[in-house]
Amino acid sequence: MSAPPVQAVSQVTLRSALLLHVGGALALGCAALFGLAIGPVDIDPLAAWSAPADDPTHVILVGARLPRVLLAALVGGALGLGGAGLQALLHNPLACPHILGISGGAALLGILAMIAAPLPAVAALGVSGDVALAMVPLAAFVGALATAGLVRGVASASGRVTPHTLLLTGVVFNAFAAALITFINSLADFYRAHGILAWVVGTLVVRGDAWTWAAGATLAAGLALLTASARDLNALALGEEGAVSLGVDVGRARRRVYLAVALLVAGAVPVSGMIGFVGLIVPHAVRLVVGSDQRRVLPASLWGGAVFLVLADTAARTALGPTELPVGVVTALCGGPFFLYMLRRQGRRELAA
Amino acid sequence: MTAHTSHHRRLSRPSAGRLRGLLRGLGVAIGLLAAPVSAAEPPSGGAHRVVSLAPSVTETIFALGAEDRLVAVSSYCDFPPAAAGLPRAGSYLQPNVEAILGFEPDLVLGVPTPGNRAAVEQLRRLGLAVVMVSEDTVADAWSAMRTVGKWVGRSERAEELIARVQAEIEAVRRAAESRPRKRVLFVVGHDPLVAAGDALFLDELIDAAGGENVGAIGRGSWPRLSLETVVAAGPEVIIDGAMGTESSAAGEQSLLAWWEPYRSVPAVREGRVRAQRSNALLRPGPRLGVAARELFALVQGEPAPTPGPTPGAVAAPEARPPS
Repeated sequence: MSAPPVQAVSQVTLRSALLLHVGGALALGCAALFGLAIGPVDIDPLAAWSAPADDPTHVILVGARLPRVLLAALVGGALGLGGAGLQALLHNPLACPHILGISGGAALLGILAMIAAPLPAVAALGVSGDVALAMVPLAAFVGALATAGLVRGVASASGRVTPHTLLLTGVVFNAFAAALITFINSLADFYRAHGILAWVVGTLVVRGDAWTWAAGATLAAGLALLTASARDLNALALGEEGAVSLGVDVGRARRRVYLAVALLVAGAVPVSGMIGFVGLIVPHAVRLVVGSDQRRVLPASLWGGAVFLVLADTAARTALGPTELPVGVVTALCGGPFFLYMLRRQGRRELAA
Repeated sequence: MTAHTSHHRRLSRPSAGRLRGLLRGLGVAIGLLAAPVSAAEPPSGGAHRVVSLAPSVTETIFALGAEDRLVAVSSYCDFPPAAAGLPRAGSYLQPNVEAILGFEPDLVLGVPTPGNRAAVEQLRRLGLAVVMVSEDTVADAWSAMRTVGKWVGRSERAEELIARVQAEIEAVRRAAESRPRKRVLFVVGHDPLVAAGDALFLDELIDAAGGENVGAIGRGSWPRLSLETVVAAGPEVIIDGAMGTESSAAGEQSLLAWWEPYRSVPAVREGRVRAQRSNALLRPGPRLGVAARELFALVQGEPAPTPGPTPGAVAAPEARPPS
């Protein structure tokens, strides 16, 4: 990976970032229109839009499809951006919230909060059902941040933190979190078990406005934090010593990126569970198009992730007719082969970095 | 201890048995698809130390008056109340092989689930009599009751039980016949929307209660339906168990709130989203008649008419009408 001179915040890069945002928004708009037009039930989207509010076609378009498309865009953007941030920080193409265990940690605490919310013991504390449910994104955030810290702490226990020990620790932690979630599932009753299983695979769940706003807000905060770190991330592409010699406070940059990723994951996981592959492959795909400057990779991954998940969820809703596929299955089916293709294309050189 | 000797026996199997074990596992897997799967023949008079791995099987054994033969049940077995006091042998989805061996059963009765396949295979390999009965459809439930009856030495009472429950369902069907049929959706979860499908006993019971099962558009027992398909189908009654059996008034409010945005659905618009909190509706056993009556009440919005005395009725605690 080559990085342009760090100090050069030229008008050119600013303009190209702006261009990326405009182009990304346009691409997302097209994907969203496609997602709104397609579904297991055949409707005429234009007629449905202008139909009365209690007409089934209007309800399908506005009540069923629109929230899903919006949520897919938010979650996909968050996962794509989070993956790009981690890959840049760790200088490793395998890094993403999923593989680093951050999604697993968020899902674990999120699911505990979700199970605890309706319990009589929690209600006895004076926390009513809705407030208790609002704790889920918060629990997911704590889980994400704690996992990032824990995984890093464990990986650094052996001295120098290499991306490899970090990734391995993350993979192990993710397996551990998945096992705990499966354990919780085996204790859960019949009604809950379906939801928990769908969550582990990754399913977009429209839980109402408050949660969608929470996802949107954390996405905005994560985006701001990562954008502010783009130059540091460019410097880190030269390696830690290189970054230090350019005057980057590596520790601070790292903490900022982890915080941003934890925010993004905490917004995404409560409404989508553990969707894999988005954070892994989207940054790779966009680097093919926009190159490796983080000031372009980050915004492009945001929009690319959103477009990818909107399309994947459209497929998940539509492919099997009246029944639905978990969107995590679709992202894995697309992501797996694409990742293998990228591995072949880039050879072993980059992986060994 | 039994567990120890069995372990030893397993270790001493010839090493060439691995391929055979694999083939046997395949055979068991294929066998599990056919229903009911019965091992050999029951001992005369039936088994005397029975472990039940499924709530419906436990209910059947109680209904047949053979509960004194039960040495352990699954952790899901909570009906009749006396069942809840019995020792546990793991969950319905994941039986605990060692615990089961520890009860020294002469028969293990269960229902095939993806989660218990491995345990069942292991128990069979250890030489235990394991009988698995399918219970997806109503017909499966009858043949399950027959099989259970045969294995606990209560074949005649099983026939009486089946006749009684069939009569209960028929009474519900007769009461519903004269009424206009309603499109009914039966869901157990919102995220995803999991509904009773066409391959499930509930499909037949909904029919008996005077409903057309909307969930039948998804194939299988518990299909995950897409929301817009449900909106397009426009169910007139929604029976919603997403809050589980411990639902409260607040829980029911949140059920209604969940459906509220989909006002085009007649059940939502006209206030016929009804909470489902009885576990009889999920147990294809002796309470199928109770389930049919409860479904009638949920579909029709009024209690099922009280049935007259049924000839040949078996006195059983679970025959009382729903509260």
